[in-house]
This record gives sequence, C-alpha cells and structure tokens, in this order.
Amino acid sequence: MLGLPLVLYAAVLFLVPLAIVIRASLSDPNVFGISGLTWVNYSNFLTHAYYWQVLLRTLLIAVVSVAATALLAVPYAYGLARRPALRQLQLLALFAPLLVNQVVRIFGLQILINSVNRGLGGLGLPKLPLTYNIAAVVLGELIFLFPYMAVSVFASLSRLDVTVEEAAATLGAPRRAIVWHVILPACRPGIAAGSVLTFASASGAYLVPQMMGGGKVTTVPVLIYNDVTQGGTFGSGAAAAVILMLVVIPAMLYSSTRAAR
Amino acid sequence: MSLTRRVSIYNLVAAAILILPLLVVIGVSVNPGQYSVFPPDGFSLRWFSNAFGNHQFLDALRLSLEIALGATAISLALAVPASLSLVRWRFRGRSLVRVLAIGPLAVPEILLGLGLLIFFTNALPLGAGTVPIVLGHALVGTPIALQVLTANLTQIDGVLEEAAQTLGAPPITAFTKVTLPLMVPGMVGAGLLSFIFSFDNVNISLFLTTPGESTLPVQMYSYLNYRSDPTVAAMSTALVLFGLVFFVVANRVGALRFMASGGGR
Repeated sequence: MLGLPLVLYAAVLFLVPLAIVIRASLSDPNVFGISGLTWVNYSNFLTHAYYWQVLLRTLLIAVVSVAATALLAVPYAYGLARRPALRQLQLLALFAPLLVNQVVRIFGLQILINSVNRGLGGLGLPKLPLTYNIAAVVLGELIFLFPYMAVSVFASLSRLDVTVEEAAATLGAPRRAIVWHVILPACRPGIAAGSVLTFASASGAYLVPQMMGGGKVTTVPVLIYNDVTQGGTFGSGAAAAVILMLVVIPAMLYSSTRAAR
Repeated sequence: MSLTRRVSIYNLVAAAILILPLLVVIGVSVNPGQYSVFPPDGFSLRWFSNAFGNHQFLDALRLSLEIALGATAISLALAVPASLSLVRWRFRGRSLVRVLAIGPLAVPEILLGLGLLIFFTNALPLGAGTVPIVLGHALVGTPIALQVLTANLTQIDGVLEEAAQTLGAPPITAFTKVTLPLMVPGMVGAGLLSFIFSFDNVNISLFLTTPGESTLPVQMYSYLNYRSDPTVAAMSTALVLFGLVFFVVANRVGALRFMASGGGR
C-alpha cells in the first residue's frame, strides 16, 4: 500500500508526540523531565483567574481575527472571481506574503504602523492605537490569515456559475437578495473550511501575539513557549496545550461538519 | 469597458495593504541611518554588506536551506505515493490516510513544536537540533504537498495509462512513460511549496533550535529582540526577492492553481 509510509510517518511523528504531550501534562511540575502522575498542572491552571484570562484572551483574539478575516476576505474572493482584471496582481497579493517568513512580515507591519503614526502626529492628529495591545495582535493575525481565507472562499466561489446570479437578476431579485441568497450560500463551504484553518493558526500562534503585543499580550501559546523555554519543565506548558486543544478542536470539528453540509 | 468594471477598487486597496509591509521592509533596508525607519532618509547598501558579512546570518541561511531541502525530500517521498493511492485506488483505510495526512495542519503548530520537543529530548535520547527540525517541517510540508499532488492527479485521465496497457505496454512502463511525466508539474509545485513552508517556518523551529544552530527566521527574530538597525531589513529584502522568484516559478508550473483548488493552507 503506497500510503503506508505517510501513515507510519504521521503515526510516529504526529500521534506519538501528541500522546506524549498528554502524558507530560500529567507529570510532576517540580521535577525536570516527565515523572509522576498528577492532576496538579490542570488544577493549577483551572483554579487561577490569571490562566482563565489568558485562555479567554487567546480565544477572543482568535474568534475576532477569524470573523474579521472572513468579513474582509469574502468580498476580495468575489472580486477576484468576477472581476479578474490584473489577476496576477490580485493573486500576487495573496501568495507573495506567504512566501516570506512571519518575522519579516511582522517587522514590516510594525514599521508601517510607526510611520503612519509619525505622519498622523505631524498633522496633529491622534495616533492609531496599534502598538503593543490586543488590537495590534488582531491586525497582525488579520494580515496573516487573509490569504488563506480568501483562497479558500475563492475555491468554493469558482463553482458558482455567473449565470445563476444573472438569472436571479433577470427574475427581478434586488442586488441585496442576490448577495444573501445566491452568493453567500456559495461562499459558505469556503468560509467554513477557511475558518477551520485560520482558527487553528490564530489560536496556536506564538509569534504574532509576542511581536505585535510587544510581550504585553499573553496568550496560551506565549505561556507555553515561555514555560518550556524558561522553566525547563514540561508539565504546566503541556497542560495548557491540552486545554487549548480541548477547546479548539471541538470548535473546528463543528465548523468542518458545517462545511461538509 | 472601464477598468473599474473589470477589477474591484476594494481588491486593489486590499492587495496594496497586503503587499505594503514587504515594500516597507525593502525601503528600510536602504536606509543609511542606524534605525529601522520608513521612508528611508537616503540610500545606502551598507546594511546589505552588514547582513551578508554576518556569520551568524550566513550560517543560519545555509542551515535553513539544508533543512528545507531535507524536509522537501521527505515530504515528496511520502506524498507522491500516497497521492497515487488516494486518487487511483479505492481501499480500506483511505480515510485514515487522509485524516493522518491533514492532521498536522489542523492542530495548532505550537502543539506540534511542543510535542516534538518533548519527544526528541525525553522519549528519545536525540535532543533537539537539525534532524528533529527537518522531521518536524516535513510533518507540515507533507499535507501541503499531498494537496497539490492530488489536485494535479485528479486532472490526469487514468484512461491514458489503461490505453497504454491495452496497446501492450507493461504496467510499470505505462506508468513511467505516461502518468509520471504528467505528474511533473504537480511534483515541482508540491516541492516548491513544501520547501518554502519549511524555509519560512518559525513556530516549530523555535522549539527545536539549539543555541549554536539557528534557522534564519529564528536568527532574525532573536536579532530583532536586541537590535533595531536595518540589518534584518536587508536580509529580508533579499528574501522578498527570493520569494518573488518562487512566486513566478510556482505560478508558471501551475502550483498556485492546484493550491487554490486543493483548499490550501
């Protein structure tokens, strides 16, 4: 069976490490490495208001980012599908940013925000509140997620024949009714599929909250990374990862069953 | 017909905003001063010679290229046969292959990084480093390659190979002379994408790099934590140009089209 190498590879390097994270989340947080069997990492996370805040902040950022991305990417995908002049440029905007690493793109975005703020300051206008806060993190996520969502919606929109829209218009449907009853239903599978990917990406992002938040916006991935790299113990980081997974995966499953419909 | 009927203004503005951060980085890289500001106060290439004269950056660049090549080789070696089996045959466990293939893309990358770190430092006596990074990147590269390859394969008519066999070609010859050449664009596209996704990966690399051996994105990240001169911008500009070459090549072989039809990541 030709798929066997892939299955074995994913079993050893994907499933086994996931199982090990779960095992590590049950290990004694005071001992280096993995030992003991205890719920203390979970009870510690779940009984401190601080950790709840971090978890809720992570989900808030992910949900707002995905929703904003969908809202902005759907008209882009529609524009690309129906008015494809300068198609190469429209595609370049989606793909070129993906070809450059996240560090570079966040760096560019931050300098851009700084120059805009310097310009606004020079004109005596208030600055954009986009330095080292949640809004900045959401903006960063939005810029990252946009291409994935736009490509996903574009793929499902390209199955909608333009004549269906024309028929609706010929039969007297106003533009708004066409958007609601013809275009958006055709986008739905793409939005759902795009949301699954972007939600996984947004809730698991370390670099965007860390750089755009300037170390002031702690999310679960930031917590995990700091814990593991500074503490040298895996227990509490692994428990945070499992809790994040338990929240994120059902949300994604729900979304993908809607996509399948 | 006017241009606005053929392209939406909204799309042009959105495209400009998406590309702008990259243009800003290019602008900053030629700034003669000590700080990363845009627009630049003049024109100088000193930060380019600084970036390409910096051993840490050069070592990181070489390591990143090596890792990306290794990850791409593994991704293709796993995804090419898997795509053939998924598209050409119906078999039990088909959905298992699909789920395991897509799984690493559907899980937050931080989890993959953490899992691999604990796996290699605790369960196996290997420690973090280059080999775990290659294996980790291939985990993300394989599903991307698989999507491109299956999208390509579904467009190749299986009847062609059957016709070759009917005309007397042995099955292996029919495959290597008919189907395999048609798979080349898909393989090139899949290879390019898994290469670039490895080359740009930060989230998995961050967990698995060891102090002496950083990949380029990790090296840039740690440089920016301490200094803000345009050295990183200069290196980035080189990468943006490199990325553009990739875009042109990937677009030429149709990899982007397959990406879009496969849903992509």
